Amino acid sequence: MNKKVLSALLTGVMVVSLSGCGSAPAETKTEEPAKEEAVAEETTEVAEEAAEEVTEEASTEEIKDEATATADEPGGDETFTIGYAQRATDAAYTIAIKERNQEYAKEHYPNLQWVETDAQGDVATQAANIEDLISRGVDLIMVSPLTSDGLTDAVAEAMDAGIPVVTMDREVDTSVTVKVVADNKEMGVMAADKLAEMMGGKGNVIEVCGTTGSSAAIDRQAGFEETIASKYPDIKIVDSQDCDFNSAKAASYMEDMLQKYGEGEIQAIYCHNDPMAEAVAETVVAAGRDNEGILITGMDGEEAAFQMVENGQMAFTIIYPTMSPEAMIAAYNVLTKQPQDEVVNCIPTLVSKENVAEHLGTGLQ
Amino acid sequence: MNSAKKEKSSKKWISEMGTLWALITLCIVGAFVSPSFLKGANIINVMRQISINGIIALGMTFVCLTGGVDLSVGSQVAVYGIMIAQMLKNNISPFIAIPITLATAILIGFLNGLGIAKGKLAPFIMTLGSMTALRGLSKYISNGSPQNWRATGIDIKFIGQGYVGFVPVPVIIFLIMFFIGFYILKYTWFGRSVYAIGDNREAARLNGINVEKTQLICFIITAFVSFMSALVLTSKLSSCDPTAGEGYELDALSMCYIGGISTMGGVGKISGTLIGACLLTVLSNIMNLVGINSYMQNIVQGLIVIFAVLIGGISAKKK
Repeated sequence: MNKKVLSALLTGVMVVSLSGCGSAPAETKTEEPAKEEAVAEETTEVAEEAAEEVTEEASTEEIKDEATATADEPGGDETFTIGYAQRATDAAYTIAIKERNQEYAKEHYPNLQWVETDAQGDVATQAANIEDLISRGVDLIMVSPLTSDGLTDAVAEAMDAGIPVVTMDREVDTSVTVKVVADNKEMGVMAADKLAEMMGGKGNVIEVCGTTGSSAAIDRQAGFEETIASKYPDIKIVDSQDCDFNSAKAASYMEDMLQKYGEGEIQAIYCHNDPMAEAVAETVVAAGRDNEGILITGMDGEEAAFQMVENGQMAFTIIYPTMSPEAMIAAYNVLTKQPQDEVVNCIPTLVSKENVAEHLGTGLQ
Repeated sequence: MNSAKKEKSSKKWISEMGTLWALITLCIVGAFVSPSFLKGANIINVMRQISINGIIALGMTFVCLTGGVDLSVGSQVAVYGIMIAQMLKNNISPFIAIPITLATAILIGFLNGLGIAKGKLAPFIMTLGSMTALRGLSKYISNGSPQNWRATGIDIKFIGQGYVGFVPVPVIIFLIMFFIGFYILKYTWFGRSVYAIGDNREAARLNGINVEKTQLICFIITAFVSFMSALVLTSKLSSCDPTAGEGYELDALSMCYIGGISTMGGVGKISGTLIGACLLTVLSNIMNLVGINSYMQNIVQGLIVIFAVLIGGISAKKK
């Protein structure tokens, strides 16, 4: 595409969004709207021509809609705009972080507006999205960073611009207003302790690992293996393999393991996430080995896993917290200038046969 | 022309026999390093593992023989798997869900083929695009989450986990598809057209072969095998991940090339693909039994592809 048309188009999008911000009644920043309007007048003509012919129009529409929504909001309460920088929408978990926090906000904080971006799993896109949110002048940014390395600069930029940032799940390497975290290592420790208790302190375990190098896999492995090594000398991790958090890979690996280890030689299978645990459970049944009482455990808190815990195919799973509503409450406290801790630690929950009833229906879909 | 043909056929022969010897050697090594390897149960297990990727490799053989490539098969597996899983989840009968998915597969294969045959796009480009688009589609329709239908009580496990006698159903599906593929390539006009196009497209056209139609059908075949693979995989796990099938296109291509299918097309046999599929799956089975790290497994698999094709080429030149 011609560079001129492209730049005109981008200007168009920018102008409409900026004027959208300007017309919001509760905008706190007083200087910027004036500036924006000046820019807007200069570029409107070019922008309107360009916007008509290209698909970018769709996003322009969205922004317009948002602007009207903001305008319809009843005066009284102060309105805040939260920029939400989603890292990806290809996993139930990342979707749950966003939806659960937003649902909580809908119920409790009607005076919040959302501007959402989705990086679709790309670090550079997420960094650029955060920069866009800064330019849009949102009041606070909620972000679940893809990686610390790639997002640190963009988050620092937001903080420098005076926009408070709440990070969720993963962290960045710069100071943020609030970080909401959960401890994967703690989950590994919990799994080891509970499994040891169920195994009577002895037996063989196979570990089905997540993607090597991912922080979740590293911590879930370290917490588990260190606890077993230090506290339970009669429990042995006889085999382990990176199955990439992928159910098909876990199933195929387990088929091989069931060949390698005969009846009574496996007491437990510790999996780094629920989809792998579910696949492993299916494989054990398919191989006719489900009468040996092999304890299969997962992590994350999928609804399907809860059902398997209930019907005895899985021993337990540990819910990795979805940072909700903790992140939302923290963000609101920051916006309304109420006291807020800098670090919020969400506690993982172990779901076994004893307490599965109270969790059924709340799992990740 | 004549000597070139001879060279090609000797290359094919050596490569196929070479792969067979490699497979036999590997099995002997396997028997020594792991006591479980030669047990009947493990052999059945390996055969079942061959079927999921092997089914795709069978279809890929047709496309490769025309000198093309289909990169979209892995993404297609995810789309079809997710479709089946999601329909069953909504309590739609498998007798409706599976045919609908099959129809979708044929349509997608048709569109791939149309872009290549009529749109004159390079197969690499067309399927690179559809690979990306279909992966997006699988994530879009599943909202990015794994889909399962365990709550509905619908049971199609027989396809992925069942047995007829002591032979797993996926293995039966795989073998039937192998023999059909073998028959088509060897004894039908269509099969000879596939070879002729890969050998020399213009000559084939002059000989009255409908090049476009043949190409188009080849891509419907890869869509069909992706569908079959998705059906086996999904019913085996009672669920489907939107990331399912990632890398299957490369597995299938590796199996074809190791089995002696020429990257230029026109040369190779589907029986070679079968041996290639066995070789890669046995290798991964042995490495799992011995407890070799999965990264190391990737390194070994990659090197084997390179050396298999390299040795095939050197042997042909020596001749």
